Formats: sequence, C-alpha cells, structure tokens
Amino acid sequence: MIELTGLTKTYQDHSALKNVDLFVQEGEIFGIIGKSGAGKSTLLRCINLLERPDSGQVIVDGENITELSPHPLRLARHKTAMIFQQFNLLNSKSVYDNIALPMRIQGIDEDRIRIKISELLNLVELDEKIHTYPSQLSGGQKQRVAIARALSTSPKILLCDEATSALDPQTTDAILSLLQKIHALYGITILLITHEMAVVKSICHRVAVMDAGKIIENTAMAQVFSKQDSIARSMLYAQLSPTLPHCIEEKMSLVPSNQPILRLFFEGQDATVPFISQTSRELSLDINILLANIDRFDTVTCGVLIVELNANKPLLQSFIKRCEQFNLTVEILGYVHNHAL
Amino acid sequence: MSITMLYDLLIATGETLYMVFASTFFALLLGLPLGTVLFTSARIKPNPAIHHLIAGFINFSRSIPFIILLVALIPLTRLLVGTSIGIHAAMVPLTLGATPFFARLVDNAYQSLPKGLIETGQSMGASTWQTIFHLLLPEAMPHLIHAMTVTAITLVNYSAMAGTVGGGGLGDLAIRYGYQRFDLTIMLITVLILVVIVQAIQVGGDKLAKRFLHD
Repeated sequence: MIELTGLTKTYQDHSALKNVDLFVQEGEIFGIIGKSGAGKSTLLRCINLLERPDSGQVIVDGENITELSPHPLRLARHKTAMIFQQFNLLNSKSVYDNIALPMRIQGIDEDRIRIKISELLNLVELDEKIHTYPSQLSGGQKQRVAIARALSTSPKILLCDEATSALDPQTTDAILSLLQKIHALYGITILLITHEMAVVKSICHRVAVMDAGKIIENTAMAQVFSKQDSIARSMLYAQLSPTLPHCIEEKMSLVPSNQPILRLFFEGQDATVPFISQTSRELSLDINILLANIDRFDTVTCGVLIVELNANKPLLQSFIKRCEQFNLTVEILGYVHNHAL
Repeated sequence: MSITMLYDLLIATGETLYMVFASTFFALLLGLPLGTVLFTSARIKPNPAIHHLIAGFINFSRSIPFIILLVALIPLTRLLVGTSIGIHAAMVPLTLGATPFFARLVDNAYQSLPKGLIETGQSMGASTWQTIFHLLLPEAMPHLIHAMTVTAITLVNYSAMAGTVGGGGLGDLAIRYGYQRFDLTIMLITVLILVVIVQAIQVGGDKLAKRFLHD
C-alpha cells in the first residue's frame, strides 16, 4: 500500500532522512518509533508530500506521487487522511462543519455529508456534540472528532502523527482502541509515528525503529521477542522495567557483597512457572522481591523482577545458572552492604 | 452657538462618517485580496517573485507620510473623480493610504493562525482557493475584524487630515473654525464627536469579532 524507496531529505545542514526504504502492506497497522528528531515526522509527511523528499520514490496505492503535478496530487491525497498531535480542528467551525470539511473539499453533496456525519459521530461516540465547537471539547474528544473527520472521505490510509502524545494515559488507551475498532471495521491501513512504546505495543502489527534519519530495525511485533538483539525488544523492556526508587539506588555500589541486586526478565512460557518460590526452595536461598512488573505484548507475556538476594558468590553463581536454564535474562545491577530496604 | 453652526457640525459629521466607512469598505476590498496573496505566495503556494513584489509595494507605500500621499495623489484623484476637492476626492488617498496598511494587518492575522492549519488543508487535498475559503478566512475572521476596526479608526484620523486640504468633514471644520478662527468650542465639539466615532467603531468591531470567536 505504501512503498518508500531511497528517501532522502536534508534541511540546510541537518539531514532528516538518509536513504530510507519502507514497505507497508495493505490493512496493516504499522508503527514507527523513535526519539524526537529521529526523522519519523518527516518520513510520515513524505507519504502525503506535506514534505517533499530531496530524492526517492513515494508509491501510494501503486502510484508514484512524487511525479504528480498539483491537481493529480490533490486527488491522490484524498486516499490518505492524517490526524495530528495538536488535533488541528478549526475553532471557527462546529463539530459538524469540521467533519464536513474534507467532504466539502471533495465536492460531496450536503445530503450525503449529513448521513456520513451522523454515522461517524456514532462510531466515535460523540453524537450529542454535533453542534459543539472544538473549544468546548476535551483533548480526547477533539482527537475523536479529528478521527471522524479523517474517515469522512473513506481514505485507504490513515497517517497518525503522534496522535496520542498530547493525551493522558487513559485517553490514549481509548483513542488506541478506537483506532483498532476502525481498523477492524474498515480494514484501513494505519501508519503511526510515536515516541511511546506503549502505543506500538498495544495496536501495531509491525514496528520500525528510527534513529538519526534511518530505519534501524523493522520487525513484526510477534517476532520482536524471538530476536535477542532486537532494539524494539529492549525498548519494550525499558518501558516495562520500573526504575529503582532513589532510596535503594543510593545504597547500591559496585563493590561485591553478599547482597546483590539483580534484574530478571522473563517472557513467554517461563512467566507462568513459579520460578522464584521453586528456586528459593531448591537453593535454600532468600529472595527479596523489590519490584516487579508484568505485561502482555501481542501474544507474549513478559515481566521484569528486581530482587535482592542473600547469597555468597557460589550461591549467586548457581542462581544465575538456574536463571539461564529457565531462559531468564539476568543482570546484576549492584550490591548493597546492608539491606536494601 | 448658532443654528447654522449646528447644521455645519451635523453635515461635517455625516461627511466624516461617509468618508470613513466608504474608504474602509474600499480598503477592505483592495487590501483583503492583497494581504491574502501576500500570505499565500509565501506559505500556501510559494511564489517568491510575487511575494517580494507585494511586500515591497506595501512597505514602500506605508513609508510615505499620509499628508504627502494626499498631495501626491492629486493628479490621480482628478483622473478618477474629476476634482481634487471634496469628500469624494478625499476618498481616493484615504483608500489608497489604508489599503497597504490593511493588507499588512491581514497578513499578520493569517500568520497568527496555528502552523498546522495549512498542513491540515493540504493533507485533505485542498486547492489553494479551497484552503483560503474553507480554512484561512473562517479561522482568521475574528482577527480580520480586528484589523478592519483598526483600519477604520486610522481612517478617522486620516480623514481629519484630508480635511485640511479641502476634503470636508470634521477635520475641515476643526481647522477652519477651531484653528483659523480660534473658536475653542467648535474645536472641542469636533474632538468630542471624533472620540465618540472612534469609541463606537471599536465597540462595534469588538462585538462583531466576538460573534465569530468560538471559545
């Protein structure tokens, strides 16, 4: 559905895209993740030519849109719709007129517009807000209106530019499940960019990691976990892993003692085995759980544990060995010389 | 104060209002497209040649003091109106003096809109005209009304100046009676009427702008 080849874009002395290739299949929810300044926003804007790449091809639905003259380009843009971080609703227009806007631009008659709007407002659950103005809506409601507006002309592709970054976590979840619902309903191809792994994790089928103008990884979400060196995987873990409270961190040092602090990652089947209690029993080892978190990504359950052991060196070695037998990733964070808590 | 004096005041007030509103109207008619092209040629459909031409013209004409413009335009006024004296003649320099001013305010109004607005239109596949009519103008409307108010008030000022060169209106009256005949009462009354006119325009403009502001 979207095929980008050799995209390059340079602003003055800063190069935003360096020879980027990307392929997005029809009906896919594709996530591009990266830090701000990684070039993901430029990349997204190249797909509807809000940014024109210096070189490279942008093929959308079989058409190389970089070669189009202004009029056919406008028609090609009718196939893609975009939602924005700041929603970009028109404050001067009511919810109704905002949603009608792209349809009026395409010259759709008012009777069909009216029918379409009531259908869309029903979908985004904002029926009663039809004559409200955007300033009276919350952030989440504004994004719902923007989604309804984007869908009004039945586009094939929905581009989401940090669509949830201005929203709180609960609203983010609600918007993401709305996107999922839309995807299930219309089979629309969704390409989203975000800096939050949580967004990618909850709805994407594929993820590309962008850094310094390049795509450094491109994987199906289901395969993220089978690749030990996957960047997306380590980002998922970073997101999963809680940070140690300051009071523990300041007691920690790198000088070995009998109280090591370890971080354990587990995933898939291992998460269901009562590993800690079994290990504690078999090695007669005291394990003090300081922090724990568990989550499910796609079909894989994974978790992280931060534990304090009461173990001398040989005991620690056998603990680590046992972890490895159970496919747990172990990392020694440091040692405390009295108890951590 | 005599009846004829009162009559003169009434006529002069009418003339001032007529000059101000008519030249505001013409300044809008010319300045809105000019300001819109100025903005459009920079931000929607970039055309540096047109943009610099218009920007240059606006800056040039705004740098000419109005009193000089008033005199310099006399040949043009004669050509258009047939005379260089009277309220109709005064409307030529008034309109041409206010047009670049209003055009610049229009450009400022558009520039104060959020950056994402034009992008939104483009992402919908809007043409330049559609972007202007469906997005730019409605979103900028309250700002444009403020710009119109400021322009009308500036024209009240200019019209008084036009009075000094035979343009008629309250400025003319103030100069002839107040200044040349030292009639302080007339001078004060004219100033008072001007204050009321300016107030009325400001309040009216604010009210109108509020109707377009939905927050």
